[in-house]
Amino acid sequence: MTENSWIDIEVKDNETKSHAIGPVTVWLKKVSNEIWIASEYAESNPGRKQASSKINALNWSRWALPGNETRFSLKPSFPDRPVVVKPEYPFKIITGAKVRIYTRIPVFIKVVMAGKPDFVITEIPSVALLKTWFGLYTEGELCYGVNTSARRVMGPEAMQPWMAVCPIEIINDQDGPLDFDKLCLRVEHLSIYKADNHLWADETRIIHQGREKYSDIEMKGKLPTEAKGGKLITKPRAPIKKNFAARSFKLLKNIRVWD
Amino acid sequence: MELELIEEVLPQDYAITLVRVLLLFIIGLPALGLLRGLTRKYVTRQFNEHYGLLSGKVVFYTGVFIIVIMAMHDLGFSLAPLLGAAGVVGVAIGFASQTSVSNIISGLFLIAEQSFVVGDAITVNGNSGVVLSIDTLSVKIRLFNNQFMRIPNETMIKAEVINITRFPIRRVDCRISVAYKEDLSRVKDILFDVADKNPIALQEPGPLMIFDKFGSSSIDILFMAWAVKDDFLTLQNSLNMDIKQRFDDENIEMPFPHVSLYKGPATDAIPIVISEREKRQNTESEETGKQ
Repeated sequence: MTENSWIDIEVKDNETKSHAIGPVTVWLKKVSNEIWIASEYAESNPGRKQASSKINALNWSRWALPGNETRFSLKPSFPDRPVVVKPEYPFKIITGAKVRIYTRIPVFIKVVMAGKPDFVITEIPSVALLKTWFGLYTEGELCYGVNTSARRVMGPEAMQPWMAVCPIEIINDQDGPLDFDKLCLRVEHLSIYKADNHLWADETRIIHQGREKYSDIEMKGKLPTEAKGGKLITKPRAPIKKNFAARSFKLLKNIRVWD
Repeated sequence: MELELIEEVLPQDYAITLVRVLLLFIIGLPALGLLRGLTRKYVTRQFNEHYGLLSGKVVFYTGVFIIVIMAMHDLGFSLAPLLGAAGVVGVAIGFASQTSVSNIISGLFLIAEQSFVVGDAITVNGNSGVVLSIDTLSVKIRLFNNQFMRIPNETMIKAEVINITRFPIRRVDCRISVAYKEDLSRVKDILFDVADKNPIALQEPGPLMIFDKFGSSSIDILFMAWAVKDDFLTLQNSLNMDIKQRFDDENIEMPFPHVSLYKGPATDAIPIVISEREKRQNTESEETGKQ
C-alpha cells in the first residue's frame, strides 16, 4: 500500500496548508470566507518555471465560498481535452489483429468542498501538458500531448499516483495493416477508479475501420481486470457513451509545412 | 364645409382604404422588424451569425415586398400593367443605377462563395478587421484599431481577400539572424528547445527551421511554430521574446547590419617607386619646357 495522495484537507481561518501530488504541490489558505489556492511545480517538471517556495510569492487565486467551509478534498480528474499518446515504439497492427496497450495520462487535481464532489472550485494539472493538434490543417481538434508512451505491458514500477492508467484494446478492421504511431484518446468519457492508491480508467476498445473512416470507440464503463477491488472516485466529464465514432488514428504526416 | 369638400374630392371608401394601407405599414413594418430579430436570433443560435443575418434579411425584405403588393392591391392598382411597366422602368433604372445593381449582384456572389462569413477576420487592401455584416450594397468591417470600414461589394469581389481565421491553426514565422561564427546545429537545438518549452506552441504540427540565406551581415534563418488561431499573437510575442532571451543566455550573437572599416597599414596609399631613369627623364623634360 502506497501513501494516499488524494486526501481531505482541513484549513482553518488564516491557516495555510500544502499537499504534494507527484511533481505539483497544492497550497490552500483560508481567509475569512475565501479559499486561496496556489500550485507550485517541482523543478523536474519540464515546461514550467518553478514558483518561489515562499508562500507570499505564490500566485494565489481567490475563491469566495458560500459558507464557512473548512474541509476540502483533492480529487483526480481527466484532462478537459482529448489526449494524444504515442507508443513506446511505432508498430503495425495486421488486419483482424487485436492488441492491448496501456497508457498513462497525467490527471488534473480537482479542489472540491469535502462531501460535495460536484462542487468543483478549481482544477490544477499535475504536470504541464503541452498543446497539440490532431487532424488536418483545415480541420481537427485541439488536444493535449503527453510525454508518457503507451506500453504493451504495465508493471508496478510505471505506476505513479498522479497518473491514471488507461487500458486500450485496438482492433484493426480495415484492409491492410494499421500503422500505430499516434492515438487520440477521448479521456473526457472515462471514469477514474482507485485501487491501492493507483488510478485506473475504465477500458476503451477502438475498432479501426479505415484511414478515411471514423473508428468505433467503445467505453466499457467498468473496472479493468488489473484494478481488482478498485473504487470509482471520479465520474466522466462528459456523459459516458458506450459506443461512438470518432477519428482516432488520423495522422498529420501527409501535411507539408508549405501547404 | 371643409369636410364636405374632402368628401367630394375623396370618396369615403377611398379614405377607409387609405387608413387600412397606413395601418398595414404602421403595424406591418414593426412586426416585420420583430420577426427579423427573432429569426436572426434563432438561426444564429442554431447555425452561426452569418446565416442569422442573412435569414433575418430574407424575412424582412420578403415581408416588405408582400406589404407593398398588398397596399398597391388595396389602392386599386392592377399588378399586370405594373409588371409590364416595370420592364420599361427597369431598363431605365438599370442604366441609372449600374453601380448599385453591380453591388447587389456582387453581394449575392460574396454570400454564395463564402470566402468569408460574418465574424471572420480578414485582410483587404492592406486593412485587417472583423466582418460585421455582408449587406446588400457593401461589406462592413470593424478594423483592429476600432475604425469602421465600408467596402462596396463590387470592390470586395474584385479585391484579394485574406481570411485570417478561416482555418483553426496558424503558423508563426520568426525571421532570425545569427552571426557567421555561430554553430548552426547548436542554434537549431536551442530554437527547437524554446518551442518545446513554450506552452502555447503546438507539439504537432511541429516547429521547423529553414535556412534562408547567407546575408550581408548574418546568416538568416526562418523559424516556424504553430498555434491555434486564438493564440497566434500570444505565440508570436512569447516565442520571439523567448528566443531573444535564450540567445542572450547562450551568448549567441544576433548581428545587426554592419560595414567593416579598417585603419592602419592595410589602408595606406599604394606605394609608388620612381626609378632613376624616370627621374632623369622627368628632369630633362622640365628643363626643355623652361627653355
